[in-house]
Amino acid sequence: MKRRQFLQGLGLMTLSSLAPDLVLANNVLTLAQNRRILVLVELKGANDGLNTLIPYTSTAYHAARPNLAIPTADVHRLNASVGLHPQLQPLLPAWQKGELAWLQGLGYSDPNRSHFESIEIWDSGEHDASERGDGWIAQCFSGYELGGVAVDTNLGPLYGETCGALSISDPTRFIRLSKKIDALQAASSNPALQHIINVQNQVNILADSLETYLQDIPAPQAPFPANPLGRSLNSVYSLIGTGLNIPAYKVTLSGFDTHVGQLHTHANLMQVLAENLAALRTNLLNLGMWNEVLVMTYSEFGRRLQENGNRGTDHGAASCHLVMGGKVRGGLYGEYPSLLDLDNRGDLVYNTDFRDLYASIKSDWWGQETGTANRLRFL
Amino acid sequence: MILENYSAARHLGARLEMGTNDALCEERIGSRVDQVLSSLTPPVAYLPAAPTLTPWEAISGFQAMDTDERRAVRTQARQECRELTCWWLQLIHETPYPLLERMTLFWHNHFTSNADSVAWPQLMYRQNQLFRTHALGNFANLLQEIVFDPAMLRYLDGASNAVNSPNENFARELLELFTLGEGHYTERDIVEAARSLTGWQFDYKTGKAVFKVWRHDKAEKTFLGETGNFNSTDIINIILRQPRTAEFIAEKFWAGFINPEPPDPAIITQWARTFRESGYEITALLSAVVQSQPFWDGRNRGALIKSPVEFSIGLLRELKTEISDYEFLRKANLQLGQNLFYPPDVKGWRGGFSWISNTTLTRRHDLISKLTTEYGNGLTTAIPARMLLQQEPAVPSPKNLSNQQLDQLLAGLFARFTGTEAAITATATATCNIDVAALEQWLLPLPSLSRPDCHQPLSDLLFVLMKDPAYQLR
Repeated sequence: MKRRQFLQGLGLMTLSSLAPDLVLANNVLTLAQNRRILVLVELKGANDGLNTLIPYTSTAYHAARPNLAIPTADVHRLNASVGLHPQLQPLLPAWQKGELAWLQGLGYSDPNRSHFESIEIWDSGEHDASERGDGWIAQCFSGYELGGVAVDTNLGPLYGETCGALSISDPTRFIRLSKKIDALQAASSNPALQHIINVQNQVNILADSLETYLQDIPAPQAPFPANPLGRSLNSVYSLIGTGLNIPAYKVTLSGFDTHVGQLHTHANLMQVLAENLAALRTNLLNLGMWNEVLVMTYSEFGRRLQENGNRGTDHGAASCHLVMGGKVRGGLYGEYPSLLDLDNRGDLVYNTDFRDLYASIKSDWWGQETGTANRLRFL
Repeated sequence: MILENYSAARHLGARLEMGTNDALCEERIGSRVDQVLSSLTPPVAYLPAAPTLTPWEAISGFQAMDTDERRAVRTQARQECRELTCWWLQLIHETPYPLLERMTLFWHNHFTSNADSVAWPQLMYRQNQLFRTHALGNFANLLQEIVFDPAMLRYLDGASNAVNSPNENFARELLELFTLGEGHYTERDIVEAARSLTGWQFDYKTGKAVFKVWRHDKAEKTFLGETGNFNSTDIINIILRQPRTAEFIAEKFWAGFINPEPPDPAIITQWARTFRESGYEITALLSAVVQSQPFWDGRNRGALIKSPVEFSIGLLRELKTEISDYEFLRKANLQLGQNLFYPPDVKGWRGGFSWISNTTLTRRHDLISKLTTEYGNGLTTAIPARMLLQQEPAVPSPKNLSNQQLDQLLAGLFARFTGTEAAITATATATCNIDVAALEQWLLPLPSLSRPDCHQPLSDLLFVLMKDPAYQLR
């Protein structure tokens, strides 16, 4: 087992405690102009890409899904072969403005169909468990005091040993409660104790900083939906609104493991996702910050083409994801995987390595070296 | 192996019980570890009183109900699921057998099911009793029974797994999370196990599992290298023959009882052999664990972070605090990240460092304040409050304890740490008449970082120690 597995999922890592002599590459309190922020939306449980970006003209699609295929008439057509799930309608304004891109055929070779293994592969960008290190975002911001905030309990790709990251739910409540905690000067050889000391100290530093900056954030113009994702994105909106220099945020929408009775559950999830992302766009446009933000969805894998006997779908492989933002060049990228040429488990075969997506963001959004020329040109 | 001193007795209690009982720690000095372990194991038939739930007959016709009836029944069920969580929290708080509840929770977090997906509190309760029945019993029996446990059949879709519509969900998690672990089986094994496990259904009429022969795949299967016309019993037997199964469980015991770091492979091999040779007796494994070198290694004292339930209920048990409103405790634990009967996903609560984030640490400190100094929420934390306020409690305790009775309780709890009874309620003292070192040794597994001052009132001292980072450890 891996040190990563042992340490990941922590609510926080403080850089200063691990490498006190490092010169910090950023400071949370830098009020930066033209920030380049990434908002990651994890679709936990494995989203069914086939019923998200739908190959509505494919006879194989309709044949494999007698109960689950979305009727062609209901699909929001993006071109002559693919279209969106009906409940994704709130995303259409962004699509029409050319601010929404769909990335097709994302995956990796020798796909793992365990939820927990595959999400680690996506989080770290590394297939081989023994080689798995920091999260891919943490790798991009090595040496940062605060590389990212997860409005979530799991840091996922923000986790790293040399990059600060923290998880909070509601920043306002966090500040209020943090007043009951004092900072502490101490070091311990007991890793659990050291973890608590680190968290306790960071709570203090952070709460003091946030309190000042959170005061003048305008209330969202378009209220976020009253569901957990809405509350998370409302927090993300407030933190982005502070002008603080935090390059990445992560939120999660759960419930995508639709083995049974998928149609209704998945439609609800599509609606929750689309309404929330539309609200985020409206509110950031209102703050004049939409050009500073790139939103991206991801998931451990897609789902099988052939529906199962329970009107659901089992674990699959390749899938599609979206990116949107003021600077995104809308459109369809990559190729839709063939529905006739499946792998030995009957799953879609990827044609774009998900790490090319990461490389695109790393180089074209954050201006960093990637060591690869493979990228999707959506920026 | 003998418990040589207070610190050793405390360590054993912190790992096996809920909260640290000072009097028991003293009493156990000089006892044998295996004797203490067997004293913690309840009589075979011990099953606590059941919660009040709607009888199943009121739900058995669910599938034939109209929309309004269904809505009403479901609303009631959701309410009863919350009450079920409160029931268990109360049980953990009041039980004379904390080890039994600890292990029941261990298996709940191993063979996870979530009340939201299962929908019916009656089934969650039955599953909980199944865990309690086998918590310190036989793992092989538990594994055989979990296959057709109604809550599990619903949670991982085993009830939908049939010859003509195989569903892999349960089979996959059975191998990945319940027995072998990733890397010790193939995708093909999942398919073959799923086929062998077909036939079980959930019968709404009775609320029980039924086996339908016509739904079972009777053709030949090949699973983990063996070929035959397997059913679910065969599959579990094949899994139990794999040495890897005992190792996998032993690794989970390491994480639960030793430290959060990768386990020592040699120790795992040893524990797994003991476990297998005992015929999967859980107490045999537990006995090996608590008598092993790593269990007693000084570096592993206080190496585990308390879960929210261990933290909150441990505190209540330590201070002998009464509580009448378990709904308050349910919400508190939900916000700390551990809502019993609602594990986050099939892999359960990850535990370890993940229990403490910026948000949950601030909430834990908030809860310490609430549980030790505030009235309301049906809490009667009159013990420290009585010391703190030096006046009539604002709200009478649910057990209607008089001030005199409270003082007696206090004296019983703290007499060992105070020279005089007056020191318990003194506001401040010019001379040191509180044994801070002893108080610290009781409440913390490691020396405190906050350097408490013996001139402080006892109530303040308690507060300082419970807000010390080491209080989060066990």
